[in-house]
Amino acid sequence: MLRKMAVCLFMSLFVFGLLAVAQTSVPETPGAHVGGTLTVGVSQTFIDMDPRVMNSVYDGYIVDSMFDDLVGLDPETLAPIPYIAKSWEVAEDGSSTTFYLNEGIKFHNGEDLTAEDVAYTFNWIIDPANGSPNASEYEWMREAVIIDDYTVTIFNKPDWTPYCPGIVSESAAIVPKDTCEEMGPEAFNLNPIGSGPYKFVEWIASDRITLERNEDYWLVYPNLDKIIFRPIPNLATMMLELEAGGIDVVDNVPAQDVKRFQADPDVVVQQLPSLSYFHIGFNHSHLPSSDIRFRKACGMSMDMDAAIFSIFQGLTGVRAYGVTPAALWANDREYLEANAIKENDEEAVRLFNELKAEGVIPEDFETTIYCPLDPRRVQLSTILATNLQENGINAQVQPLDWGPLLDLLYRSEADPLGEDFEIYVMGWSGGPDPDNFIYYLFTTENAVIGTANNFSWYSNPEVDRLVKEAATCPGCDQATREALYVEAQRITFVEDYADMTGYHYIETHAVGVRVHDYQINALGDIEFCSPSNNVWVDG
Amino acid sequence: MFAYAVRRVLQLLVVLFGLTLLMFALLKTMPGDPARIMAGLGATPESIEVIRHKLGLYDSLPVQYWRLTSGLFNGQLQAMTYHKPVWTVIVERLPATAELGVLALLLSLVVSIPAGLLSAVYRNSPLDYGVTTAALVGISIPVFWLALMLMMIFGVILRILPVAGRGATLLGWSFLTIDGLRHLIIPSVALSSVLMALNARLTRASMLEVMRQEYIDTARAKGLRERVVLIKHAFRNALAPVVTNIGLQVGTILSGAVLTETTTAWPGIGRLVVDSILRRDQSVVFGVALFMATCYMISYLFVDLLYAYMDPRITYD
Amino acid sequence: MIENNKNTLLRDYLLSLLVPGLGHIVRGWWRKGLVFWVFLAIQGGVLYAAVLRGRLAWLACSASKSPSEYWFSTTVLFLFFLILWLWAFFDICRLTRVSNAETFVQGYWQIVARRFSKDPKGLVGLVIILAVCFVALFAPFLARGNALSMDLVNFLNPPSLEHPLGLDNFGRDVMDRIIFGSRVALGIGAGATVLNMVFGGLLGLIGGYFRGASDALIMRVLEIVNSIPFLVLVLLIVSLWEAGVVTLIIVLGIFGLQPARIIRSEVLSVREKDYILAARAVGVPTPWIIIRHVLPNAIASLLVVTTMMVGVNIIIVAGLSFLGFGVRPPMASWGAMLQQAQEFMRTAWWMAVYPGLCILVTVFGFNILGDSLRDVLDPRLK
Repeated sequence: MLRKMAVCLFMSLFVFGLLAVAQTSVPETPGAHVGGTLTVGVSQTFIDMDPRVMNSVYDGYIVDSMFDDLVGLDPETLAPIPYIAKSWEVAEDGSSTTFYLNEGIKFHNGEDLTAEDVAYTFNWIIDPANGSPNASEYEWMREAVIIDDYTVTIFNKPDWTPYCPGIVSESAAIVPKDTCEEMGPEAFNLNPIGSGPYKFVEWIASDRITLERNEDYWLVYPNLDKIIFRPIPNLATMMLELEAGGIDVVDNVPAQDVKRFQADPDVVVQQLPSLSYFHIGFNHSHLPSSDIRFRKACGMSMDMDAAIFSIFQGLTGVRAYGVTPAALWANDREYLEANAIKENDEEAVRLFNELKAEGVIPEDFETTIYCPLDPRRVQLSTILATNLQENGINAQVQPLDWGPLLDLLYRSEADPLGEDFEIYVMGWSGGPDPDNFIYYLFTTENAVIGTANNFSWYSNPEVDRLVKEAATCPGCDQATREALYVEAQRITFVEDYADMTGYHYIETHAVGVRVHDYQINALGDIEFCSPSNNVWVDG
Repeated sequence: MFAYAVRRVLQLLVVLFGLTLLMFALLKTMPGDPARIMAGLGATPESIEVIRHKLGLYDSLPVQYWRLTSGLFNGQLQAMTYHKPVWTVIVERLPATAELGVLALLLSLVVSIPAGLLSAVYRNSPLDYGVTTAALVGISIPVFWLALMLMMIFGVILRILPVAGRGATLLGWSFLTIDGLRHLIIPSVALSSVLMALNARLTRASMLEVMRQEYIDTARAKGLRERVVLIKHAFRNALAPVVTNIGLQVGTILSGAVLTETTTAWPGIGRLVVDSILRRDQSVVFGVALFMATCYMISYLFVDLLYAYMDPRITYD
Repeated sequence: MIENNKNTLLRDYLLSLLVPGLGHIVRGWWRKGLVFWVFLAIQGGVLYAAVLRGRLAWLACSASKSPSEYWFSTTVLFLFFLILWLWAFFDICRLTRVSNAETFVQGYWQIVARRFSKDPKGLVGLVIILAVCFVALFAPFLARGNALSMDLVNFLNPPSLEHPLGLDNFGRDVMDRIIFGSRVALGIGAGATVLNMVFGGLLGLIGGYFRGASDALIMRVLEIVNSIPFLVLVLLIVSLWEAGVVTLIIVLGIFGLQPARIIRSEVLSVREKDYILAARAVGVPTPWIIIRHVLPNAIASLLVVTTMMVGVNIIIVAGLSFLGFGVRPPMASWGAMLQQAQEFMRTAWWMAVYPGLCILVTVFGFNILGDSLRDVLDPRLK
């Protein structure tokens, strides 16, 4: 899964001017055993170990353990919590945030972590010359400025005023300036040096990455001697390996195995609703999918509830009714659920026939549902295709790897199909604010050739207005914003039936019983040693 | 003989040149922009632009072609996604594939030569039928399916072998450690299924051919014991085509390695090539394809020369 | 005795090309000619019903109604038709080649048939292949449902009386999918093999017969294509287009050049035979020599290679499907079923075991038949 999480924490005006103060500390776990090795199975091969350019969830597990973030994220409330920054202060006008750093943090090579490193990290990422894939997450950032050794101020761009930088994703992990400049980005990527709880030991291509305890970790004494990360791209192999005891942790468990592992005394299944949204999207710039009757007929062709149940068996995913994840506020679940389209084959066939009679659906119409190679999305596409075939629409599924799929969805010139597609199945992960979802997926600003994420090119000025207002209204509290988002979603999903809402994925990891204090954070990353936990294994 | 060798090497170079053209054409027509894959979902157009420039995707095609080819030969070609020169990427994974291939080959020889020999000697006996049928099954079985079944049976149900991965290594080699050896068993058995079958059939056919020769009758007529005739006269001569054919099986091994390594999470170049195709890492795909082709062609050449050297009856003009 | 001069031969060949079997009848082999006619009538009837009357539904793979599948099944039908047509033509070429006494012995095929009927291996292979063909042809009558209908309430049920091979993760009957999947396996396997033989055969023929520069060029091309592991090459090429039955047939058909080498060496050995030299000496035109003398003499190895290539192609398609580059869902194919089944290895073994066995048995059938044909057709063995 590629990932680009624009993780911006929205902190409305009522916190402006407040100084967030809290002590960075880790609760001691009684009875924790110090020592031992943990082996983690990861479902994709590792690419980057430099947090500045790393943009895959899977690399994130490792980078997280080697580097510290500027700000942490409370696993329950999703609020920012102190990490490297012991406190921070948002300027009155919201144009900047000043971070006060903990002192005495050392990188693995003994260097001190200072404001210089923090400013360097951010400025490097936002410098277009470096071409960091993470730059788009920091579109709101103008510059990071060093105030003194342990104070740094981050200035926002003017039109991003209300965004308080929630610099919580791994790409905000701080790298040592001097070492980075000395080594150059390529070498640093292969020999990462951070300030995190575990140190880099070796990277055997395609086979494993080994980390060892950072004896001098500033926050707490990490419990594990060693962590080994093993990429195992074949899901079946990974499950077999877990059962055989070759790995302790699996980061991706299909529903049918969840049931089995729940009955297995040697394995504990850990779940956390993720901030994600998966859907069947339609191309709104192209007939027949731009015709609402076509979209509704597609919706009526399949029983989405049953489909989601058969894919996830009620275990690893929940039905989505709107774009905002169920775990987040402003999801308006009751209303959207009550107004969701139900399966109705007769009506669907009637609508399709009507469209055919009008010529909206051409005589020899044949459509392809495009989706990534992810088994769940292929399954969802397959169900839709089968149901459409039964209702007289020739549909087939084309799973594509990311390259051609993105070319297609971005409508880039390189793609031979141009915009000639009707249906696609995609997903989106965002930060803990509703804006992260509806803004990126359903506003006109994000329907741009060659890049943005509103692949459907759905465009409704009213929705644009509501989303903009909710994101920028000064002095709004959460309730006001919620009302705006609710209205926008009702227009998008009920009035316009812009897409078929699919599911919110539930992060599902399987962990051996010898592993304790294991934590998945809200962004789907594994925490091994963080302000809120410290993983240990039985001796 | 020398002239022949020189000519073959020249041919090899021509083929390599043609291959670079073919691969380059394929990579450049392949849909999917490597820069966009690297930049990920939602990347800004500017950062994609920068990555494209960095990867040199805006250079003219001849320039790109020259960079790929010359870079590959002087070792300077950088992988797009691995932050290292392509050669390093390949060399890192080479021991894994090499030991897997060699072990599979050895395993196949150990099993298939006696099997082929016996089935030729006891022709049309139940043993012969058994061996030939098993060999046919070996050719017909999908490698990845066999690997999955072996993993399920020995790794999970019986729990006597590790399921996947490479295990402990010493100096970069798995077969030097007990743990590594245990990890090697399932992939190499799966991979050797086809080789076993091929070699058993070959041994059998070649043995039958030799036993039809007159010198075997002569040996028998001399009153030599049957065992001596078979081992000393027949088997030795029958072995030559089997041994020389090993060189030709490099291609089979590499093809099989792609599927075996993907199924058993074995970190070799077979998996590297699939990963790189999916990521559109054009430099690595280019490098690995050429590397595999060179391996194959060199072993082919070697076999031909060996053949010419061993069998004086063959002349090349 | 029919006069065997150039003009009558030409006449009969042309007749045969126009109407298969006509040449036989003119020459007096009326029984054989009628047999061709009967077969052609059946195939033509099916083709007529299928193409002109649009009754292709039951021929399409996986009971889907998509135009591309109609197209696919039409192609397969045409290919069968074409094969019979060509067979009739080559048969008359072979039968009229009385001047050539070296390999043409009256009753060659009778000897072959007798040997074949005594060969248990070949019979096993034939039975397997005929069984798979039967299943593929009559899939809609053998399957109790169709390969697509889902049941999202009852799924992943283990094998039972009602569903002998169990249900998959969408509640589709695994047996029905296997039955319809045989069409895809045979369709792609046979389709690609026909192209293999046409392309590879042509290259091998040209290279082997004309030698010289064209041969050198063809050999280099073959080496280039053969030097990369085939799976890697196909993986690269398949991703150029959207996956699917037609793409797979074309890619495998054009780039599976293994037959070229074999045919080339066969042609090389045939062209040095005295009768070819004699034919050339008396000034017989080259295409004539190739059609009348070279091809019929290479037909034994052609048959063996063809049979084995079908198996090879089926295996490669399974491998590609396993890596996710196979036919497009929801179409049922054995390789794709295996790929889906991976995830369910531990919970639904029936999803993985049966399609795998089907591939194994089918490919085994083709291999063992090829093996037996090699023995049976070998003129040295008596």
